[in-house]
Order: sequence, then C-alpha cells, then structure tokens
Amino acid sequence: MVELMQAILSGFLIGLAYALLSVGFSLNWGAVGGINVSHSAWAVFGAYIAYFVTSQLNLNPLLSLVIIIPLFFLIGVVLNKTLFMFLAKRSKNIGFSSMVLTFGLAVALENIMMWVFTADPRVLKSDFSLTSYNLGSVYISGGQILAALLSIFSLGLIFYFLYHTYTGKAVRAYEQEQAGAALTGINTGKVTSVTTGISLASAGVAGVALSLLFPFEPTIHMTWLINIFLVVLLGGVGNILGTLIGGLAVGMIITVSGVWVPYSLVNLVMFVILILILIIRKRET
Amino acid sequence: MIKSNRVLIVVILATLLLAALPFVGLNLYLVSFLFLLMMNISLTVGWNIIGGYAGYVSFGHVAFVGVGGYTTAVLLAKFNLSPIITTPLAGIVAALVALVVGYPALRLRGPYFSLITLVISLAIAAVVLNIPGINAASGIFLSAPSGDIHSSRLILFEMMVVVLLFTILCAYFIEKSKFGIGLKAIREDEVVAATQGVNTTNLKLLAFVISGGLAGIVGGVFSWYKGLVFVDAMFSVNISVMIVLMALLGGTHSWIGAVVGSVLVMVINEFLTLSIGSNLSQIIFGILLVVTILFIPNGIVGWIEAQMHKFKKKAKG
Repeated sequence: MVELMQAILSGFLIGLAYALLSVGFSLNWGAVGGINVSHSAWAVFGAYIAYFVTSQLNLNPLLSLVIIIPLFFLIGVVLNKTLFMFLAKRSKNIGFSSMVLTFGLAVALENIMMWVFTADPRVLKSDFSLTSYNLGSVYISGGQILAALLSIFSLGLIFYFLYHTYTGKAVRAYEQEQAGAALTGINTGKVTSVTTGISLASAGVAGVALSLLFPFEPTIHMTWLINIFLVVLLGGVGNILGTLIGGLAVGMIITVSGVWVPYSLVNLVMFVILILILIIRKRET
Repeated sequence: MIKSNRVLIVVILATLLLAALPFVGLNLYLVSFLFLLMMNISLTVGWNIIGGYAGYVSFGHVAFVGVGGYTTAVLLAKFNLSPIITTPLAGIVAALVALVVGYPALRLRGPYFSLITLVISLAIAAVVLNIPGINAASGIFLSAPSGDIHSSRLILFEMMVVVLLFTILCAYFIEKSKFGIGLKAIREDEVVAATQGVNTTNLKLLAFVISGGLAGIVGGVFSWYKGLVFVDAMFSVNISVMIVLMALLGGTHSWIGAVVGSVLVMVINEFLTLSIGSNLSQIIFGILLVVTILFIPNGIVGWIEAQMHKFKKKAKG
C-alpha cells in the first residue's frame, strides 16, 4: 500500500514535467500543423544549460531559465521565419515534411551535443535536489518538488497566455480556422512565430524540470520524444488541458504499473493503451 | 513492352555482376559494406510498396526486420535449421504479423499512421523481449554459416543478392500492375479512389503485408549476419528512420528512387564517417536531410524527372 502511494505520488510529479514537455509540441502541431520531432532534443539542450549553470557556476538551476527562456524563444522564432515558413509554402503535406525536416534538426543537434558535451550521462546535483522529505510514509525529493512547481507554474502561464491575452486568443483562432483568422486581420506570420517561440521556450523549461528528475545524455531525446507522443495522443493534439491530463496519466501509468510488472512490460502496457486509443479515436484524424 | 523488358534485363545483368563481385578479389571490408548496402536497398524498395506507392509512411518497418530476424535466429539456435531454408519462413511470419497489425493501423492516415507504426514496432520489440524460452534479453548466439570467415561472408553476400533481386522484381511487377495503379490512386486521393471502385482497404493491407514480408526476409538474413542477436539491435528505431530517409532522398514514386536514395545515403555516410568521424558526419547528414525536404521534396529521381519534363516541353516549342 505504501509502495502504491509512493508510485502514485512520484507518477503525479513526473507526469507534470511530461505535460510541460509535451505542451509546446502539441500546441505547435495543433496551431501551425508542424510536427516538431526535434522538440525533445531542444529540451535536452535546456537540461545541459541547467546542468552547467549548477555545476560550473554553482548557482541555482532555476537561474538558467534567465538564459533559456529568451534564447529558446528566439531560436523558435528564427526557425519559424526561416525553415518552417519556407517549408509551409512549398509543401503540400506539412505534417509529414515537417517531421522529416525537424528530424534532420534533431539528428544534427544530438550530434552537436554529443561532440561538445560528450556522451557521458549527467546528473544535476545541488543541495536541495538530493535531500528528500518525509510526508507520512512516503518520500519526496527536493528535485521532484522543484520540477513539479516549475511545471505547474509554466503550464499555468501558457494557459493564461492562450486564454487571456490577445495574441494567445489569436493563436487559438488560427488553430481553429487559418483562413478565417487571416480574414479577421490576425497577422498569421506573427502568430506562427509566437507559437513556435513559446513551444521551444517551454521545451527548454521542461528540459530544466526533467534534469531535476532524471540523469540525461544527448541520445535520451528519443525516449523523451516517445513520451511526448504518448502524452499528446492521449490528450489530443492542440488540447492544453488534455495534455496536462495525458501527462499525468503517462507519469502514473509508468510508476504505478511498475509496482506490479517488470519495467520492460511497463512500456508494453503503455504502447497497447496508446494503440487502442489511436484506433478508437480514429475519427478525429 | 520492349522498354520494360530492357529494364528487366538490366536488373538481372546488374544482379549477376553483383553476385560475381566477391569472386574477383574484393576484401572483407568491401564485401561487408556491399552486404549492408544491398540490405538497405532491399528494405527501402520493400518499404516503398506501402510507403511510396500508397503513401502510407511507416516509421516502424524495423518491426518486421526484427520478427524475421528472430524467426531464423530461434529456428537456428533451437532446432538447428539453416537460415538458407528458413529465411522464406521469416518472411511469412513477418507478413502474418503485418496482417495482424496492419488491419487496425491502416485505418489511420498521415502522421497518425506514422506514429502508430512507430509505437507498434516498440510494442513488438517489448513482446519479443518477454517471450519465455528464447532468452531474448541475454542475446541469441547463431553459429556462422561456415568455419571460415571469408566463406561465411560469401554465403551471406550471395543470399542477400538473391533477396535483393526478389525484392526489386516484386516492386517492379507491382508498379506495372493494376494493383500498383490502385495503390498510387490511394496515394493521390483515397476517397476518390474508393468512389472509383478501388477496394482501398484490401489493397492497402495487401501492400502492407507484402512490404512487411519482404522486410522479414531481409531480417532473416540480417540476424545471421549479426551472429549475436539482441532486441535493441534488431528492433532499432534507427533502421526504421533510415529506411524512410533513403526512400525520401531518392524519391518514393518508383523503386529506382529507393535504390538511388539508399546508395547515396550509404556511400555518403560511410565516406563521411571514415573521413571526419561519426559525430560530424551525422551533423552534416542531418543538415542534408533538412536541405532535401526543403528543396527537392520529391527526391532526386523526382527532381530529375521534373527537369526532363521541362526540357522536353521546351524542345517541343
């Protein structure tokens, strides 16, 4: 029973980080139509920045956000203005071609990180992330608390942006009807740039959150990407609230089923659930 | 008809030439490289039947390579049946798996189909890892075709030549047949194809099963080449992704594009890896992919065809 409680709690906390990791991917797919498979590779880059800020400068990992958020937003805008918009003009099938294009980006980024940072697995070590707190019979680490708070705060910010600001509402309008949004005077070029910018910035923040939870290395972005797929397909593409629920579900499925079955079967459980959901919800496609 | 016969003759002559190559004194490195090259061409040409002709881009084709590979591996390790005999069986088992997973998966379209095939390949890998009695986790050891490494490589090489020829002939005849035309109609517009009397469900499924079966045959030879079979290597997502890239670079509308793409990718990759190291070559490779999808989205063969078409138009007036 204690074990189950512990699994549910850590699943919940990890799930929040997965939701943050997936929200930008989902938003980008839903609003712009681009499937950015390099999303998780950027998150790994964010994790490295947090790692070096902590280990080299002896600062709090959260301070890395001061660099990460503007930098990643800018990278997103630049990528959109150069590659994505160019691709959107030329391609008939934006979903597929954006997958291929960003896969190329992911491969390049992964190998640049491999080259610069080496393939050594890194663990972010700071005072609070290694202390654990005792809540009755279950334990919770400082890193988990920080990652969860960071995720909730960022998700809330994205939610506020989308539902309570003009630009955010424009993003949602563009998601629903691209031509209609353009006709009402929404600057579609700006909307797509803001969307990719926010999407990448959220990937960077999620990288920081995940660096507080797990060890990482350049190639781990593939594993993270599969988690993103699971979350987004569970929650529905472009659906922010769905992403949150999907993230929590994935986090808890991983930890809770881990109580009863071996790890290799945990993945199988999740894949089977995903396959069933995809098939049942096929009308949406 | 004369023209298509000519293509066939060229294919068969080229295969004979390829089969004779190891006898004229190629070293072990080149024989191995050509083996992997032929393997990738076979996989890409086979993948193209569903991914190119029908436009259903599968990101999980490695599942069939793995299933085929484990079929021959288990039959060799447990029952001592030579893969020379059991490789066709590997293809049949992979085709059956393709039938079972293809039926639900092919109801999805576009990126959703790509994603579900990716997840299915991961799921099948997880299933294989947990099959009791085959020790998949600790690896299956396969005795080499022969005691001598040169003759071992030679046997595997000639097997792959046969597989390659078989795959290309399959793709060639499908492309020319009514079946192939039906698949292309599905690619262009599935709803219109269905209203024109094309049985889209059956056609897609058949293409997927053939494509999966061909990948299974390749996997059957590949696991013997590997010698020590691990789930991670036989079900590596990289293989799936490489297949898609090769097909895309060459052009997916004909088997020739698949051949051109695989040869280019393999040669460039090998050259770059040897000259500037693995990381840098992968970086260049990633950028090459970005450039390809931006500037020649129909692949090299598609681009050449478009240029020739323009040229002919100009010549006419």
